[in-house]
Amino acid sequence: MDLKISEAWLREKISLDMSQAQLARQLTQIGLAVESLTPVAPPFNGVVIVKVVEVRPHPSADSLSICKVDDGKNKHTVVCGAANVRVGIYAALATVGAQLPDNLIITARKIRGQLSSGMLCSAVELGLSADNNGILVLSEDAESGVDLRAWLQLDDYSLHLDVTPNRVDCLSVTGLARELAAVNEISVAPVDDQLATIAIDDTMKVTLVDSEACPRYLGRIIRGVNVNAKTPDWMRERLRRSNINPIHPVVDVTNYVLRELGQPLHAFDLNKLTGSVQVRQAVANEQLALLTQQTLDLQAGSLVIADDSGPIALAGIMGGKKTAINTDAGSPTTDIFLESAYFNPMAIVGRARNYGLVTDAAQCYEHGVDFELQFKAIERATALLLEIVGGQPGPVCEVSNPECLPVRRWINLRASRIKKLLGIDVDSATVQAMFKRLGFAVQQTDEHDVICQIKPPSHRFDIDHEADLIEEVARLYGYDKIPYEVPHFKASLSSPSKATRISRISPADALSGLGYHEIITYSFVNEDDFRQISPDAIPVRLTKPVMADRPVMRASLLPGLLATMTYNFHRQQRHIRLFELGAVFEYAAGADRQLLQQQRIGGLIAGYRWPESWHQPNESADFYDLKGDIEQMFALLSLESPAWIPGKHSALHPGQTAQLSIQGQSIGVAGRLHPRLEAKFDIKNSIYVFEINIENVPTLSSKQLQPVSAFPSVRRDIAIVVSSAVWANQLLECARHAAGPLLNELIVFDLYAGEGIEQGKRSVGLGFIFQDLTRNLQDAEIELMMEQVLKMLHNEFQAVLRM
Amino acid sequence: MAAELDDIVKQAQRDIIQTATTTDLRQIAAKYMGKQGLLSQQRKNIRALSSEERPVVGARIQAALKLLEDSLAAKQDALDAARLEQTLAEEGLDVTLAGRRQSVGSLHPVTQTIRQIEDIFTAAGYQVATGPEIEDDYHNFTALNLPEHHPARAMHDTLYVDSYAGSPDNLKPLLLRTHTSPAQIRVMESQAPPIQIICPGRVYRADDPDASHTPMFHQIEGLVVAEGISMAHLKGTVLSFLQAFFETSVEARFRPSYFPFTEPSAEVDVQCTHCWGQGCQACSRTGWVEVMGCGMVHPKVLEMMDIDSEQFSAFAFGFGADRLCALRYGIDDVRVFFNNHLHFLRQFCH
Repeated sequence: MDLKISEAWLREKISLDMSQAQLARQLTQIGLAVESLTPVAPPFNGVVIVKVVEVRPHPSADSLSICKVDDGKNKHTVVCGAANVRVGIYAALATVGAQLPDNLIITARKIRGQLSSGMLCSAVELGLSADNNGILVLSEDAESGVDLRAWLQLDDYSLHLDVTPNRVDCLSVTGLARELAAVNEISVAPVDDQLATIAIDDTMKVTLVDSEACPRYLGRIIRGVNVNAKTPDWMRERLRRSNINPIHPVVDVTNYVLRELGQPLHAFDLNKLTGSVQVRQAVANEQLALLTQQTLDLQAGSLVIADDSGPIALAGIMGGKKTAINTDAGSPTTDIFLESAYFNPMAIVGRARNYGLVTDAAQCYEHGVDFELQFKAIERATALLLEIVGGQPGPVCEVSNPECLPVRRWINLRASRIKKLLGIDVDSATVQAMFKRLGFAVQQTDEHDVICQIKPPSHRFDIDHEADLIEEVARLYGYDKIPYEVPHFKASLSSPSKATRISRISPADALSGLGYHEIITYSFVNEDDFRQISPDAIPVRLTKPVMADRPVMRASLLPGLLATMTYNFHRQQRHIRLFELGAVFEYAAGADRQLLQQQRIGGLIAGYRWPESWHQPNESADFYDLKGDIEQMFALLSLESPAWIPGKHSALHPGQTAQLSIQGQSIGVAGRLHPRLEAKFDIKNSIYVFEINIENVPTLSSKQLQPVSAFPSVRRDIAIVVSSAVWANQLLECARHAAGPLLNELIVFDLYAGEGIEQGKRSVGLGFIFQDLTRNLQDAEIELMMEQVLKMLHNEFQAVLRM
Repeated sequence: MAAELDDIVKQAQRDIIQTATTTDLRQIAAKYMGKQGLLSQQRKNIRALSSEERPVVGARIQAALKLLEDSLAAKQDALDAARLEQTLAEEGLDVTLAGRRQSVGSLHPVTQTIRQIEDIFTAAGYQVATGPEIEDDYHNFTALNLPEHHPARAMHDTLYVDSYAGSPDNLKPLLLRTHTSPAQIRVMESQAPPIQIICPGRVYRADDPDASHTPMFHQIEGLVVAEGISMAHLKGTVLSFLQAFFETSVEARFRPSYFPFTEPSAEVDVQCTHCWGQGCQACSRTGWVEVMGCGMVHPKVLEMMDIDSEQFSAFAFGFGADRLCALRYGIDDVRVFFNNHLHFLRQFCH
């Protein structure tokens, strides 16, 4: 959570004898990471406060006026173009010779014929704001002649902290000061919490319908306020340094107290309230129009502040429009009802998010606001309001159910446990002093090993376990004081996994060695891409897609491969070889819709077979390039080579698709992308893809070595003419079977169709290599085996010897 | 006759010198030394000589034969050498032309980074464990001391899918894991301490892509559960890992942070590798770059796994592999990782 706060304000709360850099380092070291330190104003000088004493029109320009301003000693005449200049206001005069941001130097010069001795500045010209609302108008307590930088304390920095969600107690200047005081062993300036003098008796009836959600509610009526008073410069400036825009003095004060103390407050227009106030759960069909003009249909479980007419605020999150403070000149708010409550974090958490709202108040309440702070905060706000908007306060009315307030319990802190978890010895007295400084209650005990018992203060919601106390010890002791040690593990030797026993390399190593580039693509994909590739898969959908055009989880790696191919093709790449390794997701068909998550490896080749070179004219890659790579991959991995079975896949070419299987188990698919899909990717070449389900690939068990023959091998080649419809592996299987056990190797060495061969047939050259382990083979027995081969090929496939 | 023999020899030697081919050389050999050759004729003529002259002339003919044989052999050698010379000259190649090969591929830089990190840890005795990417609420949150409605769940910007799991009266939507901690939970469920593992893998957050965020990234989380494990061990492990990874004696800074599953928790910064701590744009002028979160595993987490938190203690750490990869290679926009431009990927050929 972000906190921006004025460094000067913090230093006013606590007197720190350290430089800005030291302060930033210390905050970071105690867990309040300093993201940045930004000057609250750019450098400028020569700007003083003046009172405007006369304004008259410029004789030759309607939009300009000639103003006489008083710096307390001298009067100056300046030409001003702002519409909001008027007699009596205090303004910022850049005197002659002043240096403004962007190196603008002010000189006395004539503007449309009238001499201007200086310039009345806007907040934009001084780099204090981005919104141009005319010249900067200072509050009425300003003093003429005072340097503007001094008046507004502009030599200050805005401290930007990243506060972790367990430390909302540090989301205020008081909380930060308290923390720094504990670390540096110094004290904090007390907040002015003088009780207001009660001027009226008016009270509001408040009922805690859900006192578990709201165990404490304080309210006060203040009548006769002037909501059109101007928030003083010092408060506006502090709010600005916290990135809060001034709105009107009442909300400025509640925002200020939130930043000062960490207690969210809300002010209602008393006269817009109907009857009494209740804190309760929203009921069905209730609506609430918010300050932001948005109207909410309230969900059950939302805690609301309601009056007799219905909800008037989303408790702890945002006020309603109807009862909001009104500054309209016609009917401004005159009486207010000020709320200072403690809401149970569980009653607030997630609610703002559900409505798409983000507010400071919700952020504080959902992580825990100090439940002892409400009284102090309402008095502080009252004092500030009386100072700025005046009015007559009534008494503070508290409605509470103490039983529902958080309970802080004693926790034992053991010396041995500190040693065990932090690896350091700390002195027990030091530890106790640390906790006392942090506002924890500390009590002695006789229990063995227990240093003391500790109870966290009401502002700490992150401490309910000994480990939480130990973190505090580490934090204050200093993480940097914990030594560096390396644990020693017992050496235990075990067999390598089956996969690494056989091959040290992975499929990714094999494919990258074969020229494939590994890609990583998002696991969520476009719905059309999903449908094209996996029309029959039941997609796993994201309930709220993070990328609007990718609402479903991929059921295949192919969409990512194809998209990456297109991306690269459009970047002049013409030799594309890609692979990806990752999970795919889908629901199994069937009533129970079982979720399937599989690890797959997928690859794609497109464009040229080789990188472009001088060797030969480059050809397009084809099916056999892909197949060769897959075979090579399996060989490199020492895995059983899969069988390639002609198959079908909705995204692939029906005549160029194979199902891959090992030991009868399907492991994946390979083939050419269906021309219907190829056409969508406006690349000229065909696209070849494969996808293998890694989990289904069996690893080989240890190999059995074969003896090596000392006798020569004998080769016989034949060419047969056979129908093209007969697959090569059918021929090979038949021939292998016919040739018998002495056949050592069988290859297809030639393939020919065309002139001289009957239409629909092809010539297949088969090479047979025979060898025996124990003897030389005789020509006669080889002839016999070859005869048998020819006979079987003829019987099975009507194959004839090519003449 | 002697003069005749001399003439023949001289003529033969002239012929040999003028010969340019092996074929011609063979004809010369036949012409002088063949059965009908000129020297053979001379030898036949010996019979007509006196018995005193015969040995003298015979010896001279023998000498002439030997001379010619030597000349022929020398010429043959010269011809062979010239021919080889010519062949070699003809066979000369432009060795500067590219070799004949397939292009070389690459592992994705994030994969390479994960492997380097796995190598560092496995060499020290850690095991690599993985888990599913679509997880249930229990493993991703509840078991990590992030019960339902825990405000810190909001830190995770979780992506949910249209499926539910849990007991029939308490169905919870499944989600894309927001960290790889659930894989650690699964190991602790199935294995007793001591445990020393790292869990790499894809994780997901509902972050719109920008220069420093992608809705999917890679995390590596480490977990050590054993007796006597302390925060000093965590600090030592993290520092020696960072030094091993960055291959320098980089400095690290541990500062308190918050994770519901660790207590104490720390955020680790390393000295900016661009400016070495001087302060630059890459480190927002702080001199430090945030690299990982870590801490001592919360006793509640161990207890939920039926691990006695009094006997055993544990540390855990986690970081983005993509981020470390980006730091290492000076990549300032992490979206490039998932564009997969071949010009980018080719730079990671190994």
